[in-house]
Amino acid sequence: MITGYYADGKTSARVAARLEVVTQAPAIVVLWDTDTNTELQRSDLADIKISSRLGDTPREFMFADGGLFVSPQNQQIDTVLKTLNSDNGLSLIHRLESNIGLVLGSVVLALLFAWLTVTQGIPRAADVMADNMPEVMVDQFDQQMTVLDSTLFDPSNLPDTEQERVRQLFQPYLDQHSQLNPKLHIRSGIGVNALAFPGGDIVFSDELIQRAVNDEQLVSVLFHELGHLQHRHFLRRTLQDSMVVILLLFVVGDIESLDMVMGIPALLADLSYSRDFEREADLFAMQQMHSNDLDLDAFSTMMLLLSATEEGQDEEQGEYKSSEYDFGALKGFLSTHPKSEERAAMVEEFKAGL
Amino acid sequence: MADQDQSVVSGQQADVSKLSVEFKGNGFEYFQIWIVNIVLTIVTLGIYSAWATVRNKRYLYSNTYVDGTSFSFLAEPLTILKARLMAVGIFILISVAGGISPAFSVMFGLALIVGIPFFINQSLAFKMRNTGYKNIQFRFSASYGEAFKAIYLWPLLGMLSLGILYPLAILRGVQYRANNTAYGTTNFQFNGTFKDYAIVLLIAAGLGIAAAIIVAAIGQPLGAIISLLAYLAVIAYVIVATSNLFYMRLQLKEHGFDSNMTVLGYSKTMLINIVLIVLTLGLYLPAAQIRMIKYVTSCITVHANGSLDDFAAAEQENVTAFGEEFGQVMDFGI
Repeated sequence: MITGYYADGKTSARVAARLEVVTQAPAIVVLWDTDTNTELQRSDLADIKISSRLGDTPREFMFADGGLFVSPQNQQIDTVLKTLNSDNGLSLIHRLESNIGLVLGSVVLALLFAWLTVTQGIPRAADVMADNMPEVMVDQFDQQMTVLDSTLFDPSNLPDTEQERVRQLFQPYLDQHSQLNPKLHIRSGIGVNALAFPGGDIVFSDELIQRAVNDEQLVSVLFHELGHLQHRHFLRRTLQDSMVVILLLFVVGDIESLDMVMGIPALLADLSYSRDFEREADLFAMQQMHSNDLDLDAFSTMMLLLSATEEGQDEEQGEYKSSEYDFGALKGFLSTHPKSEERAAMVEEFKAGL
Repeated sequence: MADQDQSVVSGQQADVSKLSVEFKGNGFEYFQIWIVNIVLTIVTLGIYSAWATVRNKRYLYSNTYVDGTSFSFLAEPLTILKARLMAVGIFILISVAGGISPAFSVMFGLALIVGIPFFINQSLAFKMRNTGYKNIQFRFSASYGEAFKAIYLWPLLGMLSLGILYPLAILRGVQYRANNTAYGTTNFQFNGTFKDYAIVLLIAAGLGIAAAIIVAAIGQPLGAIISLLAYLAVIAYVIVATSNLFYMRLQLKEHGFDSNMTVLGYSKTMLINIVLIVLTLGLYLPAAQIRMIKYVTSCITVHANGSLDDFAAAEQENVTAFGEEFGQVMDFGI
């Protein structure tokens, strides 16, 4: 005997009720009003829609006429259904859900899947998508310098002769990569910084040009930015970030109250992608420096100069690697760029492999 | 308080009883269901996600009790799966078409702006249609015009009036949701006023300004932390104040509601959740959801004015899940 309550689906009234199996084959059940002992329902068990077991939540028996019997007695219900051989397939899911070993296995599997998707699957998918991106989409970036000039950048304050000298210095290397359609712009207002935008716009700041001790160092930064263009990092980062968000949405569903928290894993993934792209651009820069017979040490010296700048940069509110605050061990995890020491070590490794 | 008893039938002796809302689920049990759902979703390449959604929602609804009776989540997995596949298919189609010609993207963008009120109506109708309590379903039905005004017109007027009409925009949004929702055949009624929301927004602005002055006085290193905390506190205040307001001013026939969430209680729950989610690489997420639901439900009471037994069921109707699923894929769901 299973006890619970019954609601007929016509009004919101509920009455105490009990369910009894009258005959075994065919399985006929009768639902009694507990208080008045009158018959509420008489039905073939096969005509009742019984909700599958879900944790210890109350079970629902939906009769053909829309009447609903609800009972919290999961144990008794399972026993009765088993003896009547009316155990529906979904109870298998409940057995999975209540098996601690399987749950632990699921945890490992889910973490592994998340890790592989974020570190392998998404970057590869973005790569393929970026390769197949039609030309028209790239055209959309044409107007960006006009917009950026009126918002982010200020005009350069360097004398015309100095600007012209840098242009002359870069021209042969820009010509080497004319398929990337690179265009050099010199601006200020962004601290010590160089940026590459899709479509080929490369922006050097006055401060960066002044910071470099020699021309080879400047060229190494140019190659690094050309590396970003060559590997379409801007596009790939956008694609990868949106895929992470879609993945999160699929896994956790709509959790309205936790919107603030959901930003954290997406941000960590974005920063990790950013560091990967920096490494890729660094590698490109080193290869180009080498094939142009330029001093590879100029690259590592430049990185050290930039990291020295960044430490004293709070007061001049520069933006170069501004997200690299000192969080001790967390530092590497929370920054957009690899650590300077790591980049210098990468140069040594590259030289050793030549 | 909002106990304006104009709808009480005269002659019937009003005996108001306070019924608590209770959530009986537990974090670990939900975690087991949640993690198995994720793995089955992965293994079935996403097909199981519809069953996963139903099991998650069923767990949350079935464990929420008012007056000793739980809610039910009634949607069928197959309905959700069909709508989800259709929504994802359309999303891919649009992305591909947009890649071929940007003109498609523009056209689609315009169509989406026109379509959003319709989809939001559909999404709310689906949610309500699939929520049951004592075997009576909820309903939501609003005209396109009502949705359009609540979603576009009022927020726009709020902005154009430099925020003066913003309390009205929020009020119209809440009225759109509440007044078009019914339990069976009985509509909810929201009695909030412009003044209610104006006070909430003024206090929030005041808190923000006070924090800005303190930060300016203290200076940079400590100031950054204080401004972050102040930002979170203002958000918590607005969430707590508006949801308390929602229940206090809500009526279902002669029955009322109350909510006494506090900024401290809400922030504490939120902070514990964030810390544990980060420490467990996200595995605490389902338990965090339960912790938050437990806190919110523990603050809500139903003021039953007489019996809750005489609500009548509405006519049968079918609402597709498309609006709901499309809204999630396009990220405009509410």
